Order: sequence, then structure tokens, then C-alpha cells
Amino acid sequence: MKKIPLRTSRRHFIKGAVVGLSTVTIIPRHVLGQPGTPPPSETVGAALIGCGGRGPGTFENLKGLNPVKLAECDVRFKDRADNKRYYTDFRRVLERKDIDVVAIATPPHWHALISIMAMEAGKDVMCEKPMTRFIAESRAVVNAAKRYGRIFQIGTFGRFSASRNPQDVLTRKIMKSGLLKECKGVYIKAGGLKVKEWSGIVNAKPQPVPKWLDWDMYVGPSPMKPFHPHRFGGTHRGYWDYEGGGLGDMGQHAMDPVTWTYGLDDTAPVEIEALAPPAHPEVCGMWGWVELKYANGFTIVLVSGEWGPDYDRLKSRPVRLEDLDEEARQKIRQMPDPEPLIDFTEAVKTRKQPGGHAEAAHRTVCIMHLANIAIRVGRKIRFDPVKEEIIGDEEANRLVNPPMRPPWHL
Amino acid sequence: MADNTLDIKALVEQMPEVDKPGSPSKFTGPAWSEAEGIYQKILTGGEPALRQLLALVKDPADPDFANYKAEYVLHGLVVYVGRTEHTKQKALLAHLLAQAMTDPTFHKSTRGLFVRELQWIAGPEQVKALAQLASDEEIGLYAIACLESVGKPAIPALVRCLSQTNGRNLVGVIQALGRYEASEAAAALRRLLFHKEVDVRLAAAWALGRLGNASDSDRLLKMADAGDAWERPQITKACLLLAEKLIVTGKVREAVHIYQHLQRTRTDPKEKYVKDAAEAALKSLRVAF
Repeated sequence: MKKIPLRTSRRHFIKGAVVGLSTVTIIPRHVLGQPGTPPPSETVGAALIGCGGRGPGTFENLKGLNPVKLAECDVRFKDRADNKRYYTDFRRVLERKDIDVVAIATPPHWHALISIMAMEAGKDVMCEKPMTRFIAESRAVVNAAKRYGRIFQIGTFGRFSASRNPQDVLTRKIMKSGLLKECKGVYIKAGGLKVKEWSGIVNAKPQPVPKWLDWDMYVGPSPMKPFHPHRFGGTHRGYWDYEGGGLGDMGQHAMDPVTWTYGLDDTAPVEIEALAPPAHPEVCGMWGWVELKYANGFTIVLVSGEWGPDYDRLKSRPVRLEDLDEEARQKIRQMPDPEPLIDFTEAVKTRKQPGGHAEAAHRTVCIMHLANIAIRVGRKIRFDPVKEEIIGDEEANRLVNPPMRPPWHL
Repeated sequence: MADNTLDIKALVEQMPEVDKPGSPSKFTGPAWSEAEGIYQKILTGGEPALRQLLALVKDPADPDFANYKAEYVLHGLVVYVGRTEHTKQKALLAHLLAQAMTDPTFHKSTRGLFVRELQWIAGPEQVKALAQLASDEEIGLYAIACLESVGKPAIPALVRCLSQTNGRNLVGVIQALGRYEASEAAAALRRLLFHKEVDVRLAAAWALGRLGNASDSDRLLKMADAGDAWERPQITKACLLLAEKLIVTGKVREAVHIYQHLQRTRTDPKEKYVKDAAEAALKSLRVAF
């Protein structure tokens, strides 16, 4: 049997651990309570994991906590990593006891695992969208947040605006009241999903890995494929291994206020149908539309506007007070408004769940995951929102929880 | 009756050209209805037609790769036969993919592509061939992933793979067994807790946590207590998974033992979250602490 080396040695682990502990005392002077800067008791140690395009913006979401950025981790830091300030291996960052909060802005195939391991190490998490690459990943994030009592906030904030909009608040009250006998609501998101922009290249020959890049760490839990620059640095969105095309990239933004407004934070679509060409095995490609129907009748339609005939099966239709009888309307009018959503800063301080908590983010990203599964298998699928399995379609179900490349696992 | 007059290459060439021929490029596929016609024609050609198609397929890393079309048609066909009404065709295509993935006349990268396609439709019939690839340095991880996708029918083969693989491949085998809570692997997993490679130890601990044997609790707790900055939270997770599994199987007293240990020993302020998690679990079990 030929020896296949593991990437991480015991020595490397111990070295990383010692470095992590030794850096606890190295705190920049500006956090020591000088005039104009918050005292240490009012700051948190923070790390940014994934320092590319969305990195600074995601870290900015921590600002209410007065974060002191103690570590930056990126697979592009191979030639500058010192395991003190700059890292390529996020595990060495998570070992540090002086870091309380992490902002994660890697490509999405890393979001779940880093979020989970961060929470296992006691950190709170601000995670860039989309939450995950497949359904079982985001469920595992939810479980970790619950198990360890950690705060997780997804980096989309549309629901915060919706929660301040009187019409959206009314819609939520109707949906959550249980008084609606039959929901005729149809929400159509047409365009703006960057389908062609975030599709992949089908004839890309492998290229040498740049010296500054830790390609093995970049690939992480996804199947190992040879390096090509298009698989990296933003255009990764066009590959199933790392994201889910424009739908994966933009969908969670678009659906974040919708799941709040229509009270869908604890459920998922039950029937999903798509119009698309046969999918390519590696690259995310074109699609026309996807219909996602919930058990209560509410339907979300995603229309790309970039492929196929115009969508004309359903018309957009809001949920209205007029859908209820007078007695039910009266009850709705008497219902208190929902509690205001709290942001990440307040959540970390109070240990209450933030507006974009893990379960809400999971249910939202599942819309895109189910849409992409329907696109990839080219047939209507049925989903069990409780078991979180596709019903009666073993092949489609394999996309709910595909294996990860070791040593990574949920 | 198989149609022996089919020109598979001509059918494959009906796929659209890439958007910018001659350079790395995107493509826009045909409508399903159009593609289905091609899939159906290939299927009417039976085994010879499918073999012709496989011979045309090249992974982009294969030096003979010319264009995406054959790979795209193969994948479409794999997805198409995944429909419930195509059971026989699915079995035939899976059988041929399993043959092709071990055929040394194909470039290794293309053999890897065949394993990845097989992952969509493989069944128990392909387990033996996949297990033979599990220790392969280049495509073994694809084969292990495929075995994991097959699920419980692959467990006996995966257990045998524990002694036939090492490094990352061994970790992959452990992870697959852990996912399916394979009690047959318990004894071997316990031995792997003492493996020299940390990732093997961590995977074995995680898998044992998922198996849910109360007899493993002290073993895992001891390992977690002694673990370094990385191993300690990872094996603590295995302990928590074990406790959750014990609760589900009605062994509440054994689960309480784990939680009480964590509640008692995680006294460092930076581990308060573990203590809190244990206390929350004990509270939910109505156990005083």
C-alpha cells in the first residue's frame, strides 16, 4: 500500500497552538484605552477568514463590537503567513483564545465548516452569504449554533428593512396568524440573478498553481480539481464545487426579506420545478425559471430573464387582508407587531438571536439549494421540510448531503 | 433491439459550440426536450453505443481533451437515466462506468470523471469495483465519496477499506462509516483513536460519537480532556454527539455522565460555552447540577 501523506502534521498542530497562546498578550497599543479609543473591556478580539472581495465588507459588519482585528486568514497568504497575524489555515486562528468573533468571507464551500468549527471553539460568527453550498451543511450550522449557544448572523440584511415596512409587517402577521385557509400568494423575483455572469468555463485546461496560493486548502471539502484561475477569486461562483452560480450568489440577498415577510423561517418548499437546459457536471449554467411551492400554497418564482421563453405560468400576487373574513381581519388588526429584529452587535452582547440567525439563514438558502437541485436533475422534485430530504428521488437526494473531501466533514 | 447504425460522435457534436470558440469559454445548453432526443437515441444503441460515448469522453485535464461536448452528453445521460422509469438503462450505464473507471486505457483524469459521474447513480452492484479504487492516490477519494453516496450497502466494503487505506483516504473511509453510524466498525475505530495522525484520530473520535455506544464515553472524555488546542474542542464535540445519540436511544443516565463531566471540568472562562452547553443539556433533562 502506497503511503499517502496527510497535510497536517502533529508538529504543525503543536506549533500552531503555541503560537496562538503566545499571541494573546500581543495587543496593539491602540486598544489599551488611550483617548479616543474604546477601552479593552469594550472591544472584542476578532478575525477575518477570507480576505478577498467580500472580506472587508463582512468584517465591517462587526463594527458595533469595536473589533480588534487580531488575525487575517486567506489561502492567498501562503508566502506571507506567519501564524501570528497572517494565516492560511483557519484552524490555527480558531485555536486562539483571544479571538471571540470571526467574520467569514471565504467562498461558500467553506462557510459551513468554518462557521461550525468556530462555534465549536466558542466564537460568534458573522458569515457572508450564501450561507452554504448544500442543504445538510446549513442544517449542521444550525445544530452547532444551538449546541454551543453561539451567535450566528448571515451577511444579508434585507429582512431588517422588511421588518420596518408596515406592509411587510402586516403580511407577516397574516402568514403567521394561522387564519389564512388557503394562501394564494405568489412572489416573483425576476432578473438580477447574474446567471450568465456567474456561469463557469467548460474548456479550461489545468494550469500551474501560483506559488502564493494554498490550492489544497482552497479546495477544502470540495472534490479536488486541477487549478484554473477561473475557479478562484470571484469567478468561483460559476462552479458547483464552490457555489451555485448567480442563484447561489444573489439568491440569499433576494430571498432574505421574503422569508421573513411571508413567515417562512421555519419551513421549506415542498414542490420545486425548473425550466433549464441539462446542467453541466462542473459548471453552473443557464436556466429560465424555478417555481417553489410551500405546503400552505404560497409560491416563490425565480425568473432569470436570461434563458428560455418568458415566464407566464403564474402572476405575482401579494397576500392581502382581503384574503381573510372580517372576523379574522379583526384578529389581525389586534395582533401586536413582531418584536424588532436585533442586529449582530446586540445579539453578541445580549446572547439573544439576531435577525439573520442560523435557522432563518438556513431556510432561506435552502430555497436556492432546492432550485439548483431541480435545475441539475431536470425534473420536478418534492421535499420534506421536516426530514429535509427529497422524496422518492434517490439521485436528487444525493445532492442534499454530498460527501466532503476528507479530512473535512460536517 | 440495439441500433448498431448510430453515429455517436455525430450526436455528440450536435451540442452547441462554446460561446467563444478557441478560448476558455462558457456555453448555453439546449432545451431538455432537444437533449432528450439525443439521450434516447444513444440508449436505443444499447451497450455498444454507450461504450462509444464513453470512449469519446475526456476530462479537461486529459491531454486528449478537445471540447466539453462528450462529457456534457454523458452527464445529461446519467441524470436522464436517474429518472425512475429508466431503471434498466441506469443499471447498464452504471455498470459500464464502473468498468471504464478501472480501465487503464483511459487517462487517469478521465477515469476520475467516470467515478464522479457514477456517484450520481451508483448502487450496490458497483461497490466492489469502487472499493478496489479506494486506496488509489489519484482517484481513491472520488471512489470513497461514491461509496459514501451508495450508503448502507457499502458499509461492509468500507469496513474492509479501513485496513487497506491510509492518509486522507483512510480518513474518508472513517467519515463515511461515521456518517452511517456503522456499528460493525466500532472496534476498528477504537483502535484508530491511537493512530499517529491527528486527522485519523479526530475522524475516529467523531465516528465513535455518532455510533452512540455508552462504553466509549470515558474513552472520548479522557481524550478530549488531554487534547491540545485543536483536538480538545474537536473531541469534545464527539462527546456531545455521543451524549445526544445516547439520549435518542433512551440511555439518559449515560448521557448525563458526559454532560456532568464537561460541566465539572470546563472551568476555564474561555471554555464557559462548553460548560454552559452541558448545563443547558442537563437542565433540559431536568438534572440538577
